[in-house]
Amino acid sequence: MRFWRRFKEALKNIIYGMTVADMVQTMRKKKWEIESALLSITIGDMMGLPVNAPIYKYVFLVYYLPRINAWMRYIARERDFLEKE
Amino acid sequence: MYFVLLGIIVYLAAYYIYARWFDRNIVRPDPKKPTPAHMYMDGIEFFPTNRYVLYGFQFKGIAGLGPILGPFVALAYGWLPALLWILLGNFFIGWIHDYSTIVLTVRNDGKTLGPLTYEYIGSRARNALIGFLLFYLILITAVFVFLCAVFFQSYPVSVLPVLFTVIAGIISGLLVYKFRVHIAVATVIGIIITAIGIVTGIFVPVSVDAIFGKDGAFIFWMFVVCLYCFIGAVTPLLWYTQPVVYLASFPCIFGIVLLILGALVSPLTGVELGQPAAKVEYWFSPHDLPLEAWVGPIWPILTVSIACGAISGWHSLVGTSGSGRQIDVETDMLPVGAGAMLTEGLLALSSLAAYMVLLPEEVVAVKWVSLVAGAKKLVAPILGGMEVAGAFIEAFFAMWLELYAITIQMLVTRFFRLAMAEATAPVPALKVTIGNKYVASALGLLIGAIFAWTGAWVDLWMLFGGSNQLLAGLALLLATLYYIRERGVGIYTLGPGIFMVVTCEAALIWEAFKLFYAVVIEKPIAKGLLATPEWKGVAMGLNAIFGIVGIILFILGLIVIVDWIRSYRKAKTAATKAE
Repeated sequence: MRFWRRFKEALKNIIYGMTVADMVQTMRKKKWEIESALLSITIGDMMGLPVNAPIYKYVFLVYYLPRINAWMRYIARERDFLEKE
Repeated sequence: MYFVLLGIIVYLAAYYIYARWFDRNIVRPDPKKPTPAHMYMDGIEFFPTNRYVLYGFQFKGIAGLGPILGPFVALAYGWLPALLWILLGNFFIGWIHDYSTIVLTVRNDGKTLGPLTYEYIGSRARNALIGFLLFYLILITAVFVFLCAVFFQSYPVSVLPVLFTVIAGIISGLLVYKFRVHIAVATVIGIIITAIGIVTGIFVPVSVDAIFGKDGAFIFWMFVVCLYCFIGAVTPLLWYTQPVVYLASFPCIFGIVLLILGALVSPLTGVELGQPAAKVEYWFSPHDLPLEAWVGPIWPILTVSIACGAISGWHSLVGTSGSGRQIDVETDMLPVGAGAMLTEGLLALSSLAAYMVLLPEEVVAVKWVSLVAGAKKLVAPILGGMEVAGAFIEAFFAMWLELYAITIQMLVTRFFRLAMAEATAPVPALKVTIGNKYVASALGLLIGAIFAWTGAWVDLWMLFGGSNQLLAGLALLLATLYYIRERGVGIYTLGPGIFMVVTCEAALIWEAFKLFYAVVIEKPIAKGLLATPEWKGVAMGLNAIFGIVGIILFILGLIVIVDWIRSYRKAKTAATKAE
């Protein structure tokens, strides 16, 4: 019984990977691009961007905190040409 | 026919004996070591994913038209050599290539093939790789545009199903992104529209042969295919390409399952072999064929004709830029990399079975679309028989081939314009002209379409196969450097890498020779309009261009190999000193 449950779960995941996973990843990338643009225009001075930091960035900062490291790596990471979409 | 069963046994042995041994003793994955998915977790490119999801993702990314159409070309030597190459090639080379490229990415901070080449070999090799990729993408375009046009022309029943699938994809995308409909509902609506398209296609086949003539119709269908792909390359992913590829994945998966099942149960359904096992007379000489009509000697041509069924460089691009960054724990690398590749081998075996059931006169009659006829013979017994399901199977598999080709070609055209933007980046004037996304996409499709127009599909397929397998060979050599640095032993990838590199360079030289020979004897390899005396000069010019492309690929590959040899010597010396 346990075997069949695990088999069904594995099959479900495989079909998910073959169909929806790519779409989910593309949506995440597009969402992230918009978020990254927002971070850049509000706290871009942290990365050396010539942004006239608005005062209300401190209001957003508490929401940005979990994403700041990921955003900095995203901006600074070298991209191969296949990733430059 | 027990080939698929034999394949399952051989591939299980490859996975549970050889692959697991290699994994435990050479790679030595550490489940506690953080992978790039954890180190750089951003929820976008780097995020840990369940191994089964990743297996499906990897399989979908690597399974293209190569394993499906390649065995047809290899039939020139008989089915036995093709079978042996698909089994043994995958056993010794294919899975280790896919697995090692994922290992390279996971253990090098999620870097893709370009940066890995730069790090392990050097900048010249990386630049050569970009140039190599540009030509490789043009060859894929040429081959796929030709095939799509031929499929549309040969199977008018496939035109409306493909159109309906594309429309269904756009509608599903709009429903999900614009109207926030649940993905399951949008998918069901899309599949219903696709099914309506298949039924409509059976009753309303679309043929333009009567309007444009045979040659004009071929050019018309090429234009239609290029239009599908151009729109896919320049529009935002979410509105066209992504939802169409998503929706097309359902009939594609269904077709793969049907084909594998049909081949697996063929001993029970009584489907018989129609092809000879070995046409030895063609292995080393053209026999009764003129030289320009002969595919070539069994070595090196057999290995490059079955483009993806046993090994493919495309997989290293997919593995390094996608799956490698989502590996949750290092122990997942083997089932994802090796597992997906061995499954693709099963697909290649099933496609081979579909060709093998055709009688020689049936293959000659339908040529490159033989798979549809073969799939009908294999699958009809499990769907109620030829009378009940024959028309549906024909329309379905013709659509299946088209969707495979068009969805991959959309992505290839996107890659091409990215590669063009990268290549023209140092020169601003070029970057704003041919580096522009619309111009680059149109240019890639136009060059591919002109190549396809010649009808020299077999030779273009060999150039594509040669460049594809050469990329795989180069990836294996790259992996060798990693294994030497980390483990002091690289023979398991060095042997296959040298074999692939030598074979593919030989294949490229052979194809270039064949094309130049055709020009010298003034019998250009061409079909249709270009085969007429009035267009002979153009045909010869295009043959010469193909030959030059073959030489350029050979040289670019040689540059990477020479630089690799230097890096190999350094790595070997360092490994010896460390001991």
